[in-house]
This record gives sequence, C-alpha cells and structure tokens, in this order.
Amino acid sequence: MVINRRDILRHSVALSAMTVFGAPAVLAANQQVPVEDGLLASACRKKDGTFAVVVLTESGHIVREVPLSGRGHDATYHPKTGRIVAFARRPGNFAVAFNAHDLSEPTLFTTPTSRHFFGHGIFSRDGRLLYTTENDFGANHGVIGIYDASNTYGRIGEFPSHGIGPHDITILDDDRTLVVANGGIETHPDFGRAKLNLNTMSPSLCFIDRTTGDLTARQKLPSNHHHLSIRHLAATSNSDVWFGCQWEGALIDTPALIGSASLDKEVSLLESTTTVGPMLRGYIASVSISASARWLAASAPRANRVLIIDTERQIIHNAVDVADGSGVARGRDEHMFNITSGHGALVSHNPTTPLGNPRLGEKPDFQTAPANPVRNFSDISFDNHLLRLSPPI
Amino acid sequence: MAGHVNRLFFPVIALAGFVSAVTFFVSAGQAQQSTGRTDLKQRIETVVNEHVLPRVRGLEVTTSELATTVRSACQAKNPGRNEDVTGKFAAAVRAWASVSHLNFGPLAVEARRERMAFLPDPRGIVRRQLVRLSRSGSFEKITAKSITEHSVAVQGLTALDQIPFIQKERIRNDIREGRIIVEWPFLRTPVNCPLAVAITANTAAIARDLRAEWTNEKGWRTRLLSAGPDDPIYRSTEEAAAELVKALTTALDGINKHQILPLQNSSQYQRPARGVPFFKTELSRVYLIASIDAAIDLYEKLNLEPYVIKKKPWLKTWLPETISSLRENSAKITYPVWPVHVFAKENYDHIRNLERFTRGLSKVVATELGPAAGLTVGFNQVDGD
Repeated sequence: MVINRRDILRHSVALSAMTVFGAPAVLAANQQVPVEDGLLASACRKKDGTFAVVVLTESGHIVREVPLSGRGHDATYHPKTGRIVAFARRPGNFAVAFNAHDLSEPTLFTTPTSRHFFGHGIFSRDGRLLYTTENDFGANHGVIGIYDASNTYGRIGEFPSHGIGPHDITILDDDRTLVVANGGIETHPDFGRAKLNLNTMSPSLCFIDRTTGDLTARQKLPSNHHHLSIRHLAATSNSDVWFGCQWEGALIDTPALIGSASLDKEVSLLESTTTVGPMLRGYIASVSISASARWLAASAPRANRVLIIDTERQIIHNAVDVADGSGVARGRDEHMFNITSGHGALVSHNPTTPLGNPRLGEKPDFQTAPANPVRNFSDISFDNHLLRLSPPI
Repeated sequence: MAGHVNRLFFPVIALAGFVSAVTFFVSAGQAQQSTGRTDLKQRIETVVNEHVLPRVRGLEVTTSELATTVRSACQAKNPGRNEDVTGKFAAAVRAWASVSHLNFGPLAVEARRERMAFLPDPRGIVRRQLVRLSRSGSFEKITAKSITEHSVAVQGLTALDQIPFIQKERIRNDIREGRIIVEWPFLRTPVNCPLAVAITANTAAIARDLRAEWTNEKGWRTRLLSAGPDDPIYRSTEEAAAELVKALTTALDGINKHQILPLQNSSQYQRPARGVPFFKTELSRVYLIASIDAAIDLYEKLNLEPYVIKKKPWLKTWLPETISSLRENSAKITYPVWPVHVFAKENYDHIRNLERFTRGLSKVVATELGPAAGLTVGFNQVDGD
C-alpha cells in the first residue's frame, strides 16, 4: 500500500520512520497538520547528538524522520517520483534516498572508495538520473557522479566537474545543462576538512552538457577575487544563476559574497555602498530564489542574518535577524521564504511585507528587523540547507 | 457631575496610566539593555587585556627564544645544548596551547593556525609530509622563507615534534637508550638542522605577526573593544562578545574531541591512541593541561555565571565542581612513552571525567550561560560549508 501525503495529513496518524538500518521509530503522534501546508526537508542534529533528515510542514510539524549515520548537508527532491536524496557532509561518502510521501524503507548508497560527496546533488528532470558533486581526491579534481535513480542508485558513470572542489549543483530548465559551483578549494579526506590550496585556489561556475560531460561555458571571478569560493546556487527559469560565496582571505577584505551569471553572461557581483562582506563574516551558507524569481534569500549564519536581494534592481532589499539562520527555501506563495536555524527555529518571511520594528543597522543600504518564528524546535539543530518539496507553486 | 467627569476621564486616566507603565517598562528595558551592554563591554575588555594579550605576547616570546636557541645550537653543533632546545620547545608548545583556541581575527588568516601546528592529525599527515620532503632532498636547502612554500603540515611546532623520528634507522638506538625528550636527536642529525631552523624561524614570524595584529592601533583588540555599527565586522558589543563565547566552546570541543577521546578509546579498549598532539616529544600532557588552563581562564574572564545562577541554582555548585574536576583529572593522567601508544587502564576514570566535563561545560556555555547573556553560538556558525 502506498501512503500518500494527503492520507498522512488527513488521518493525522502516528508515523513511523524506517531507519537506515531498518528499525522503526515513532515520530509524530496525533498532530493535526494543515493540509494546505507545503512540505520541507532538512538535515539536522538532534538533541542527543545524532543526525537525521526530517520532513516537516511549513507550519512546523515533523512528518518523517530518517536517521543518518553522520552529519548530513543538503538534499534534493524529484517532484514526480517523490524521492528525496540526502547527502553526507563532506568528506562523507554516504547518501540516503527515501520517498517523501510514503514510509517505504530508505536506500543507502555510497560513492566509490576513491571518491566522496560534497553534500549536494540534483535529479534530471525525468527523475531517472542523479548527478552528484564528488571529490576524486587521488587525482585532486572534482567529478560529477551519475547514479541510476530509477533503481537502487547504482553508480553508472562520472564526468569531470571542470574544476577543483565542486560544491553545489543545479540543472537549468533546458534539462541538459548542469551548473556546478567549483569552489576551487582542494581538500583530501586524509586531512579532514582542512583547506589545502588557499594560495592557489581558482573558483569558477561551470555549465556542463549532461549528455556528454562537455564544458559549455566557464564563468570565472575577477582575478583579485580568487579567494572567493563559489559554493551555493539558485537558478531562475530563464537560466540566470545566482550564487553565494565564502571568502578565504582576511575577513576585513571580504568582497561582495553574492552574484549572478548565466551561460552567456559573465559573473556580476552584487556590490553595495556599505561594506557588507565583512559584516556577513565572509560567509553565505545557502541561497534560494522565490517562486516569482524577484527575490533571492541568502543566509549568513555567522552574522545571524538572512539577506533578501531584489533580483530585478540588483540590490539588497532588506534583512531579517535569524540567529544561526542558514537553511532557506521558497515559501507558500510566490514571494515567500522559509528559513531554518541551527537553534531550531522555523521562520516564514515575506519580503513584500514591511519589516516590523526595522532598524538601520546596515545604513544606508537596507533595513533589518527580527524575524518571527513559526515554531522553535527545542530538540533540533537544522543544518545548512532547507529544501522545499511540495506543493509546487 | 463629578461622577460624570470621572466616567468621562476614566479612559483618559487609564490610557495615561497605561502609557506611563509602558514608558516605565520600555525605559527599564532600555536601561537594562544598556547596563547589559556596558557589562559585556567590560567583560570583553577583561578577556582581551587579561586573557588574549598576555597569551599572544607569551607565544611571541617563547617562539622567538626557541628560534634563537635552535639556531645557535645548530651553528655550534653542540649536543650539550639539546636540553635547552627541549625546554624552549616545551615552553613554545605550552604557549601555543594557550593561544590556539583564539581561532578568529589574526589567527584565522593565511592559515596561521595550521601553519603553527597542524592539528588534529589522526592520520599522521605531518609525518608523511616530512618524509616526502626528506625524500625530495629539500631538507638541506630549506630556509625560513622557502618553508612557507611547502605544505602547511611541515611548517610548525607539530613538525618539530616529528622530525627527530622520520629517519628511523638513524635514531633507533637513541630511542632505545633512553627518554627521547632528553636525547632529542635532531641536532645530532645535521640533515635536520636547516629544517629545524626554518620551522622555528617561521613559527616565530607567525607569532610576531599575530601579536602585532592584535595590538597595533587598528588591531583586533581595538576592533573588539570598539564594536558597534561603524565597525565592518562586529556591529555590536554582543557580536564581539559572542565571538569570545564561540572561542570558549570551540576550545572545549577541540580538547574533548582531539585530545581526550583518543585517550579514552585507548584506555578503555587497550588500543593504540592515534593523533595525540606532541606525543613523540612527550609534551602531550603539557599541551593538554595548558589547553584546559586556557579554556578555564577564558571561562573565568568571561564571567557569564551571574547571568544564569539565579535561574538555574544547580549551576552554582556544578560549575565550580566541573572546573576543579578538569584541573584535577588532567593532572592525574599518565601518558605512555613513545613508541608505546596504549594508555593504561588506570587512567580511564580520569579520562572519562575529563571527557564528560569538557563536553558538559561546552554544552552549558552554549545552551545556558551564553544565551542568558544574549550571546548564542550556532550549529552552522562554527564550521559552515
């Protein structure tokens, strides 16, 4: 029997989750969940120090939890098949696939021993193939792993990422072009999470034909920005790609951390009249584009802020204070965002609504104000990324 | 009439009363916030002046003395001075242990932390990189300047811990004959002298830069103390203070994970411990005790207890007992002498207490003391990706 999401919500049953190792665990008991809620997913750390990926509603009800054997990072979702794949944080080598809408047993799969995941992946539009960013650490270059998502996630091939340290990956609406953030940072599992080539790093945004693995275009940063590691991506339906970076140089020298590019448009960084980069502590953790494509949310957990970018005017629109806010995903209408934090907060934010109690902390560019959480989970620390599953807007 | 007037004016009076009450509470809140900020600012000043600066100055002095001693011993080719070198090395390791948790600002640029000491190193990368360097024949040619072009793993104090040991055949007899700390042999293997001179000069230079960037006019001391909307990094006193709280939790977590857990597993299961810092030169215990002392000192200088004691009275006894336990148990651990890697079972209780109390104190700081002072350290802030 297949249990769909509507059944789950209507009957408000006590749900059980199959663990990675097959042991069931009771999760949410007798919770009334509004049917109109969208579903979200995020990796997290639980109060007891263990790790999991949770599926939750926008109103803050957890409907499924799948334990992970180590810290997770991002996940990807295919709306037709309902499959979610959650990835280990680098240099982990495991991924867990499960169905968002039933309680079937998760599938655990790993990279070959000579590779590890970088925490991100994306499905092809038909859901048959899964593309993942991986490290070929023996040869010190990035690869895109290809997995058969129609079966048991067997690895069926790979092609170069055309750079070092590929991190986030997305696919354009043509269903042919993969976009890869080659962060440029060399790592090796023998060295843990240490960064090994900061003096020579060369980040780039690569557009790759997924049918051949050929490089279609490579957009590079200005040479004086070689310490700016491109990490996270959000593509619009017209194939503009927005990205968030982390700065590996001296904090005080941090340049703009958010930018955009496309197949035929060079990188453009979002400049600001105030020095925003140092204020954000040189780190954007996650980016997401609104359904309207008008707004980009960019989280800066080290600065306890989430910036909202007006993509049409190419300016910072405003910011909300979210302590350790990191995960961002589009919300229930065309403008809204959901935000999660390491302190367990789930926030809903609409950029078009005037900020309550704004202050001019970042004068004169933009206003910032405290966020109002939908719910605070006392027993969960949400990890870097938040994924919207449904319903599609 | 009077009753009528009263009825008419009652809402006005009530509104006025409400406004007064709101004004009072807002003012009281603002005053409290202002007092809180002043309080935090004093704490930052105390931490910077009494915790940070003495330690970065101490590192500058000890690494400089080590560099001078190694250089003169190598020039004199005088094995009799090995003990001087050993003592200076121990002082530098101790000084580094008391600074390494300040992993922000000057220490977080140019990979200074990794260049000063490549830790943790459970897979023996330092040794492997030194062997690679040795085989390339670069030992003899290396200089203080050229070493910065090599792997960060061969540039710092952890490389000094290893270089006597990478030429096993040459020093095997030395090891068998006695305690390696006395027979520290790299000065008797001329091939290693250029590397030792280069490493010690490099660490002294890093420590000098570190001290300068903390203390110069626009340095990190000034930045932390003048945090506010005009500072590009710390936009408020709270942000500056939160950086110090993060340093404390990072210090405790690092001690727990990298210095204690390997010992616990070894003692419990009688397996070799891997990656214990400064193990070969028998300075692991010195390093552990200095690390714990530094964390305790930062904890005491931050003085966050008053924020929470009233609400959580159990902490009034738990916190001092934890601090005492950390000191007592770290002093009681006995380390095996290399090449033995297994920690005696008798150590287990002390190690377990250290594990429990470093983990517990970190958690209390992150979830109780910090938030009570309005300072939070996030899951995603510490090591983002």
